[in-house]
Amino acid sequence: MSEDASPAIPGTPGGDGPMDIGRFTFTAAEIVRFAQAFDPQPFHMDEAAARRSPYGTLIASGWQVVCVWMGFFVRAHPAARPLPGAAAASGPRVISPVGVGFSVEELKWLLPVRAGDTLTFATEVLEDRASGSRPDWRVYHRRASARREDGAEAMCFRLRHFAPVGL
Amino acid sequence: MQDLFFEDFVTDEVRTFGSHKVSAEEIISFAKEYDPQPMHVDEQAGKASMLGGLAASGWHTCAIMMRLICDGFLLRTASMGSPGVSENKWLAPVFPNDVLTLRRTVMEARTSKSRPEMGLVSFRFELLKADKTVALDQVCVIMIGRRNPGARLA
Repeated sequence: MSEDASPAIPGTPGGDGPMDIGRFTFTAAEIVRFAQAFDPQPFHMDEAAARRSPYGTLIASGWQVVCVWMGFFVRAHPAARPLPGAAAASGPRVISPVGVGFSVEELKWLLPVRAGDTLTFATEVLEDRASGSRPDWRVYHRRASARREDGAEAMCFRLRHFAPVGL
Repeated sequence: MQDLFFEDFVTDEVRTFGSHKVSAEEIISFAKEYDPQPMHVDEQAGKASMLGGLAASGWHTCAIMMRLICDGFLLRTASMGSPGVSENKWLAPVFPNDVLTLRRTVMEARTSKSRPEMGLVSFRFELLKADKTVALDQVCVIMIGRRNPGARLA
């Protein structure tokens, strides 16, 4: 990802609608690696155990799908740099392009993500408004999603976060 | 060994589970892969940021909480997965050396007409710091197998 990429926040309103930010194939090895660290339920860890589960085959932890979305979302932004000029004196000296999250609403794991599935990740701004406390920042309400190759949505959520303007 | 079933989750029950001491190394390692923003990967950038120090990605705190859920009770439970999380609030940053515990409240337990082999349990999961500050507050539904599928509850 170029550091000279468009400074706009991905998926900003302006008629673009949802914007794709990346594609990822959930191999069995990747599914098991995440599960070993964070979600070692049998249907995320072991193909034989998964066969006896309601899913019938190895599936990715829902949190892995969410974390992969975030990895693409952050990398879709230009790299962080200090705020220019006067803003630097009143705000944090090092800022992140994505900013700080407050909350997630209606996170839905709609379909199991099976070993070998490739998902396309997307984001869309539903609403944004000026921050009341920090003039150079805005509050974003955004929709995140991941869809399979057949177009079916496998995961979605809404995110509220606080991010600097005009990086 | 799965010895906990839908019937074992009683509305309004509150329990705490486990503990996990967070390290700078794991914060950075997680963030490099899933959330490479300056305050999650660099001590100096963290100090200069709004969070005031190297802080775990909010998604990392979700993942740590999932592990505490697994180790606390879910691996013993006839879990059939989760349809989702209705709300998830990041209330306080998590720093290196924070010791996190899980507080679980059973909010509602209901059977499924269409799938008599399971029930749906709504939990509030909170990630507590040592001083009882709530870092993460989440409401999540888990599908859990019934001990005697199809039996009518009183």
